Amino acid sequence: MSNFVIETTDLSKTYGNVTALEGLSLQVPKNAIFGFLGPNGAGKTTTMKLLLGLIRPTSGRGHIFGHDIATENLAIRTRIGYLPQQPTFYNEMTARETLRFAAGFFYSGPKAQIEARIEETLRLVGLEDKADRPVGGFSGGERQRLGIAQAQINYPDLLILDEPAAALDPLGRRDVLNIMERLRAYTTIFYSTHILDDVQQVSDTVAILNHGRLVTQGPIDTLLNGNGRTIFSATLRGDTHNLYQTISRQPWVENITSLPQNGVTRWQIDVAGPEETAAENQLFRLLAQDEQVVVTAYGRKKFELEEVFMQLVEGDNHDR
Amino acid sequence: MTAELNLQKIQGDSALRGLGPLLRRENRKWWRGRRWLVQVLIWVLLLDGLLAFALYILPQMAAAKDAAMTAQDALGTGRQMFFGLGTIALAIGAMVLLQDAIIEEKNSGTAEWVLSKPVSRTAFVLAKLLANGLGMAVTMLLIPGAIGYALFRSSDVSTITLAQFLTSWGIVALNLLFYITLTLLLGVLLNARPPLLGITLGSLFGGTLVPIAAIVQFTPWKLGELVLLPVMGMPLPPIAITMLVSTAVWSILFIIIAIWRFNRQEF
Repeated sequence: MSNFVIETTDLSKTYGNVTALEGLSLQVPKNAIFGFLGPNGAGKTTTMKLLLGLIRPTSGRGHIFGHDIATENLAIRTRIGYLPQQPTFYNEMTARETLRFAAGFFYSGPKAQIEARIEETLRLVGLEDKADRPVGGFSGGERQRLGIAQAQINYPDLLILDEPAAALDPLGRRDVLNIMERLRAYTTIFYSTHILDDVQQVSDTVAILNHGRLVTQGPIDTLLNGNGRTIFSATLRGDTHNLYQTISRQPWVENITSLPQNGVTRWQIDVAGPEETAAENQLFRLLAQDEQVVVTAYGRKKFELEEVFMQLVEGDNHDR
Repeated sequence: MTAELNLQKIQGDSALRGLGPLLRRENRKWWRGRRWLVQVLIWVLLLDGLLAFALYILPQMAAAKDAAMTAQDALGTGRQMFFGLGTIALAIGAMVLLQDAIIEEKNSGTAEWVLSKPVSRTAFVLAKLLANGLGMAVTMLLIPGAIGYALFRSSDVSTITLAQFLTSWGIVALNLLFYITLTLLLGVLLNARPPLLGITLGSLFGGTLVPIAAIVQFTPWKLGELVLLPVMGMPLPPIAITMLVSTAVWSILFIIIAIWRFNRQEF
């Protein structure tokens, strides 16, 4: 049995001459909160619709829980929950009726247990007091909460959420992220977003898509540590000329970026991959022993996701 | 969390999976609000109201103006209004009520949401057909039909038997079925209402103008002319069988094509 809930191989979708998705090979581990990132039009929603069987792949294959997405989609949909990018429900139904309607596709009874599940789900998303109001009068945030509630009414093994926090204010976003955190214990969450702060906050694994192609995927820690690159940063005061020469001569240094700023100099030292240990052992000692320089800050550079994202997407754009 | 073990899971992946909740939702639209009452009022007032007007008020109005209008004349006018107008008006009613049934769900995104659940697409189309078919059968055919028959029977000169009435009303029902299924099919094929209404209204009104009998006999376009024959005590011509069977076959074909196409659509 595979450890991956979602596995796709060279999955592609074209509309006439337009390629929406090109050769996507993706692996989503069990119990991950998998952030699926990319600029608008990158192919995130297309991917989700392919997984749900709402559209058919032009080529390639995909499996969820080992079921083929093209031929066994009904079996897949019994085990997943989906929140569309703009959740739309029947306006005349109340939130409770909407959840009852959704539950009806999964459970036949007992009625009391189904009602208990609906109540529990309403509580989870904080809609208990609005449960009997028609959905037509709901705000965007309330709709989004109801969207999450209906998506997980069936205890899904996989939640697919398309931009779950995009239309929300900061408080609404925080609530949605909290709900996702709470659900982490029970399910795998595959969600798309372009709000990178959110991803950094809750995701453990990410994939970045650009122009329909996968740019990178992996654990978020690996990505934030430079995705294989080792970079040290140092803030120095004093004359750094000689020190620069010394450090540059070290065999494990690939590049030094120097940026004078407010009377100090900030260095970013790129280290050749295999030489990481040598750099760790020697770099600080070399910096500290130069008497003309004071080291005011030093450490291994931790990337912000936004920085990684911009580098990868812009790099991919240049390669095209 | 409440244990899922306590819940009875729906098993299987049959072609009708999800039909139950979908039917409940569609039926609720008909029966839980005022829709059914509004429809009953519209059709009773329009069809039975005009019939009552023709049978009981028109002769009095004619008499007041010293015009000659026999009870037989009034009955003829009543028949023409009830069955002739019924054939056209009910078809238009079906188009109006169903124009949005599928297009609205495709455009608003509710179809995408529903189809992300374990629902067969066949069930989605059938739920629309069955629930709307039932709603229209009761509010447009059964209740106005029963009142209409009672009005005919109450007329001193009417000799319409139940069998004759049911034959004529059955032709009206078949014509209605044709336009229900055509409207549903077009709802699947199209994404906007204007072309849907253009095609269905074009069939209803333009079809009667087609002069080629070889084509017309395989369509419902002349059913409006046939519908009066049974209640006038006249036999249906042999070509009527071809028209009636063709209309029924078209209706079944429309549903099959709608299901086939909907199963291949992307959302």
